[in-house]
This record gives sequence, C-alpha cells and structure tokens, in this order.
Amino acid sequence: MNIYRKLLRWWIALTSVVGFVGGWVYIARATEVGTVTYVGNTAVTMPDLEPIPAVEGLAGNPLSVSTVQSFTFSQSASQQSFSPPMRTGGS
Amino acid sequence: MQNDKFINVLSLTAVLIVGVAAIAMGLLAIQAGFGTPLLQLASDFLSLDSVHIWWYVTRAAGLMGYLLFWLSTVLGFAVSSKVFDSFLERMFTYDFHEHLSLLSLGFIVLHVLVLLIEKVQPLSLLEILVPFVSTYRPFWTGVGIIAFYLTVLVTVTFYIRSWISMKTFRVIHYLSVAAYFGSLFHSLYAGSDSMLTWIQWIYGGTSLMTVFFMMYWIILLWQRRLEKTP
Repeated sequence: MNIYRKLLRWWIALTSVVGFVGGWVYIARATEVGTVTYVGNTAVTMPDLEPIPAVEGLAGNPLSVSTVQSFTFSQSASQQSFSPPMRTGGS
Repeated sequence: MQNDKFINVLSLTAVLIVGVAAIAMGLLAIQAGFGTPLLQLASDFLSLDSVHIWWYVTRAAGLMGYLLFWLSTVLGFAVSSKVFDSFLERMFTYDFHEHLSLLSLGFIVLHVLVLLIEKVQPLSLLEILVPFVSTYRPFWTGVGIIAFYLTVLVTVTFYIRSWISMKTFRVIHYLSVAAYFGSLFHSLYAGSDSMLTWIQWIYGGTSLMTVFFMMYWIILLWQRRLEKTP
C-alpha cells in the first residue's frame, strides 16, 4: 500500500515535469518575442521592421544615373546672406 | 480492494505518461529528420540558445503551477463532496490532493524565482514579495502575490494538521477558493500568454469546472445542514 502511494506520487511528479517541459516548448514556439533592446535594466521590445525593398536594376549592375533618385539642394537667398552676429563677450 | 484501486489509477497514469512520451518521441523524430544530434535537437526544442529562455521557463512554470493548483482545488471539492467515494478510496484522493498542492507550490516558487533573473520583465525582490508595488500591471500582479501567500498557508496546514483543530484547518482551507480565483485572474490579466487561444480555452475550461464542483459542494453542504436541523 505504501509503495503504491510512493509510486503514484512519482508518477504525478513525472507527469507534471513532462507537462512543464511541453509547455516550455510550446510557449517558445507560440509567441515570438520581438527584438529586445535594453534601456538601463529594462528590456524594451522593438517592433519588427519590414525589409528594405531591393532597388530594381541594381543587382549585378553598377549604379547608373537613371536608377538613382536625383536630389538637388538649393540654398535660398536668405540662407546665403545669413551671417550670425558674433562678438566676444569681453568686459 | 484498496490496492486494486491504486493499481487502476497507476495504470491510467502510466498510459498517460506513455502517450505523452510517444507523442514527444514522434515529434523529436520528425524534428530530427533522423540525423540531427540529440543535444542540438533538445536545444532547438527548448530554445536553449534564446535570450528569452528564462522568460519561457517562468511562463511555463506559472502555467503548470496554475494547472496543478486547479487540479488540487477541484480534488479538494471532490474530497469534501465525496464525489469519488464510490470508486476511489478517500485516503487516496486526499493524498493525491495534498501532493498536488505541494507540487503546484513548487512550480509557483520556480515561476517567482525565475522572474527575479529574467530580463524581459525584470522585477525586484520587493515587487515580487509585496503586493501592488510592481511596475508591471500592479493590481493583477498583487492579486497573484496574495494568492501565492494563501496557497502557502493552505499547503502548510496539511503538515500541521495534528497541531491545529479541525475547525481551524477547515477555515484556512476555505481560503484556497480565494487563492484559486486569485491565481486565475492573475494568470488572465497579468499573464502574457492570455491572448493565445489555447490558453484561453484552458482558463475557461478549468474555471467552469471549478465553479461546477464548488456549486455542487455548496449545495451539498446546504442540504446536510437542512437535514441536521430538526
């Protein structure tokens, strides 16, 4: 009688451990935690970013003017004439 | 007669274990592709190389602790209501109930201890021991802490039963109902797995069964009192 009780307790404990490991495996697969960044002692989950789309025509080809977006910078007249007043803070 | 009943329960549990082991082995074989080394396989399965390993452990331990505590609570109602008396020895159900309480407490302690070292949701010792001071969902974490203390209290009474009166034992045992519902709501509202459908089914199913057994127990108590009154 005593041996049955002991055996039963071992069975229950073993089943619980199997259940725990099963839960661990399932949880590790069920929810993917995003990229984690640590701010001080606190972990911050970062959102998943979409991959940058490949630029057509770049693969295997050197950069050409037609495939690269042109960007021009024009300074306004006010910016060109702007000169910050600077003076020393002497006594 | 008593031994036969023990053997029946043992056989049932053995079937359960063998079934779980067979499924696990099957999954392992599929995953292995019959060539991957076993250690690598275990590492892949348990995500041992993941930075979130302790996060998975604490969640699995919390879930297992809840399930065992639920089973113990339901069995407690069943013992009081004498539900299993026709086919299981009372001493067996009581022993089973006591052992499940202790096991659930073990898993809850593991859940709590791992929370101290994991980094996804780091909690200090103070936040883990004192209710309602946690930075993470303070109310429901606090409810969980109180439920844990109540579980400890109820489990301890199993071992000091000879030192306290039966009335005190029963009164303390009634607190396990509050502890169960506290742990249920803590799991639902503080658990990060509550959004998973299968977890919601577990919580829904277990709580409904508990309410059923509790109502049965209350009605039976009420009936007994009515019968006693002249």
